[in-house]
Amino acid sequence: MARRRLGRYSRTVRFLRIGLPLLAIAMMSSVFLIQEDDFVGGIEFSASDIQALGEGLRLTNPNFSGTTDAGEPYMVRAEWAQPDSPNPSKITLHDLTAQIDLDGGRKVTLAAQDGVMRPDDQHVTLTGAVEMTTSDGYVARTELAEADISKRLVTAPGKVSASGPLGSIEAGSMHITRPDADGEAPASGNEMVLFGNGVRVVYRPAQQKAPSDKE
Amino acid sequence: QQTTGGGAAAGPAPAAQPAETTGLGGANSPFGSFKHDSTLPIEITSESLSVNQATKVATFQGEVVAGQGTMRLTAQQMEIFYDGTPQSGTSSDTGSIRLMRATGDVFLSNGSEAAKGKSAEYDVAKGVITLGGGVVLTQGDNAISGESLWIDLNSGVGEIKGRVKTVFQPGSNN
Repeated sequence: MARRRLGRYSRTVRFLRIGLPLLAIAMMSSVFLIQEDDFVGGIEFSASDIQALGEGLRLTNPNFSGTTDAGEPYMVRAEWAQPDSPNPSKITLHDLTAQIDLDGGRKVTLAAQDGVMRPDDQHVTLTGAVEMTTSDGYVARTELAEADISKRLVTAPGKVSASGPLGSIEAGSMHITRPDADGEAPASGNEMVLFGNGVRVVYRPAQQKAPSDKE
Repeated sequence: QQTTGGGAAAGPAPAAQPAETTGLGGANSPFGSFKHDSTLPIEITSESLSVNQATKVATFQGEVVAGQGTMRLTAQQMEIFYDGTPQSGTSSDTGSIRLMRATGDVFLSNGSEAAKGKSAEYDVAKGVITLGGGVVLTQGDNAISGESLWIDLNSGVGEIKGRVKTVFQPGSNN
């Protein structure tokens, strides 16, 4: 479509639309520059601003990383995260996954619809379709889990259904601990998985191989 | 009427027939009813379970009941020694259980026959169960006691060893 010949009026309007803001910025910066000496530090926020900013501030696709007591890197990713303040004590997360990399390349992963992370004590509460995989290949599903990432402790107080080397497991609770978490020799990479409050395991042995091909 | 015999393959039936060792395990072989398919799923229930991934041992604690087909093994504690590698030839990602070791009030039953002992080991792959620590095997009114009991679940052949005592109920109709 041929560009309409801009009339003189619209050309000047367009010039002003760009020109004026530039002029404003120039003036603003000059204010800073001129009064350099008596200008105190950066921008000041009042308490209410902080509060407003805190609520409004929503990080999309954030990821937080750190290392556990045993020096294993971990990362928490989410669709969005909302800290309760610029220096957050609590961060609400949505559609999050946490991954702890163990040595030897194995991983422990946690995923959930919602979570609340307390960065100071590296604690994450996970709710809604929580799924955990341990380094030994157990996949456990539950509705609520508390993860103390620095100590690599995960507690699921409610019903859990898991599957792994032992077959399928249903239990009333689950607790993943790291032996060194309570002072024993650090056996990084090997968790103890404790199922409680009533356990049911169904194990399916391999079909009996015909004797001939049993090496 | 008490007969004591050491290491004899126990046969309570008056007409003592040697336990048949043919594949099927004769109907009256003392452990005939223990014969069963050891590839059936095993279901284990208990109060708690701890899985030590370093040693690949899973320990069931409290009111442990392990069932496979009609066989029931109950105990206070049961350790399962498994290896994490998925069983070859199966789609399931489960590792294979090598051995189940039960301790504390061990009770093994399979329909009409039941055996009690202090400990039991079930080698799942071989389909062999051994009970130890003083065993009493009961079938109906008859009871056989000894030090240990060994049963091959595939053939139903079994042997009771050590100070074997057999108690017949006279006049029972078998």
